[in-house]
Order: sequence, then structure tokens, then C-alpha cells
Amino acid sequence: MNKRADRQQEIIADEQIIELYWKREERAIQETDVKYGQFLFRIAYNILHNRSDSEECQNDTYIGIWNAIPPTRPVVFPAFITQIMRRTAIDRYKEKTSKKRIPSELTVSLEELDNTLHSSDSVCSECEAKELGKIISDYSRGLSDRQQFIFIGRFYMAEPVRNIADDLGVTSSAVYKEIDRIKQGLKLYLEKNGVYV
Amino acid sequence: MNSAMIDGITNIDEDLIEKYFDLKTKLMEGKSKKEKHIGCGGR
Repeated sequence: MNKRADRQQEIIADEQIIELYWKREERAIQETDVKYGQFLFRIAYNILHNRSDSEECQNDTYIGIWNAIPPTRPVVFPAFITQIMRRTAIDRYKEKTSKKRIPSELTVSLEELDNTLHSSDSVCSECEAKELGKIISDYSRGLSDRQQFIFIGRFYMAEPVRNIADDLGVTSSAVYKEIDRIKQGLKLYLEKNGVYV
Repeated sequence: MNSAMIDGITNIDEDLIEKYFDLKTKLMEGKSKKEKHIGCGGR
């Protein structure tokens, strides 16, 4: 019981965690779990909406981090592990949605983007995922800090709108309005770059 | 489901994710300062 409380007080700096990975000490995974376990679980849960799947993805993510560091030395550790977690959870999401619809935040946030990009299969063949990622990144860079926070929070982290609103200290409807503006802008930007809508 | 959009967003540049965390940290710091301030005022 007290052990957990003690552990929580022993949260170490990201640089130290990265160093443990470089030294190939398994404690690196424990430290990652103590500091970011709940956070990583939430990302997976926002996408999958299933406890055991999210836990499995979390474990796969720890293995992914272990395999990636070294050689990688992440500059911003939470951003780095978030990318691994998202990719792992998205793979699981695709696997599951090929069978049935998942009522997750990701599904809802994608439905919000439905009018932005149609005919996904044809677009995919015309514009590779990486290229599309670049275009979306360029568009995002043109947004204000606040809009970027909403865009990444909603569509990358699959955060519920109420959480984003809470972070920004505004109402959910204000965030929805901003999402609408971002979507419209993205649609125009994609069209401008030859991505068919 | 829009799989092109999922893949596109999954592939956005890392610096944008880093900036998101930076903004989030700043917002959290601002929030806790505000809470501390309210806490002091209430005493």
C-alpha cells in the first residue's frame, strides 16, 4: 500500500528515464509506467474505449519504447511515447473496426471530420499517408496556438471536447465552434493541395 | 470511418505533438497558479 505512495513521490525526470533505457535497465519501463502509465492508458482508451485492449496496447507501447531507445534519444519524451501509443492503438482500432464500430472518442472525432475528406480509399491511393500528414502538419502550423491545441487535442489525442474546454477554461460550445472553423480551413487547405474532397 | 484521415493525422510532424505538450504544460501551470491564488484569497 505505502509502496505505491512512495513510488509516486519518486517520480524521476524524463532525462533520467531516457538514460535508463540507454543503459538497458528494465527499471526504465517501471519508471515510465509510474510517470506516464495513466496518461498512456487514457490515450489508448480514448481511441479504443475498451479497458483490456487499452492495457494490452499500453504493454505493447512499453515494448515499443524499449525497442526504440536506443538508438533514438527523444527530445520531448511524452511526445515520443504518445506517438508510439497512438500508432499501437490505431492499429488495434483498425483491426477492430474492420469487424465492428467502436463507440470511442476517435470514432466521434473522425465523424466530425467526415465532410472534410471523403472517399478515403481513393484519397489513400492518390496521397500517401505521410504526404497527407505533411499537408495536415503545414496547415496546423498556420493555426493560432489555441487552435493548434484544440486540433491536436481533438484529432490526434482524441480528447473529449469537455476536457479540452476545461484545459482552456472555456465552454464546450466554444471549442465546438473553433473545431468547425478548423475543419473548414482544413478542407480548403486540402483542396488547395490537390487532396480531393 | 475515414482511414486516410486517421493515417494522415497519425503521420503529423513530431514538433506539433511536442508543441501540444508545451502548451498543455503552460495551461496546467497557469491553472495551478490561479488555484493557489484563489486558495490564498479564501483564507
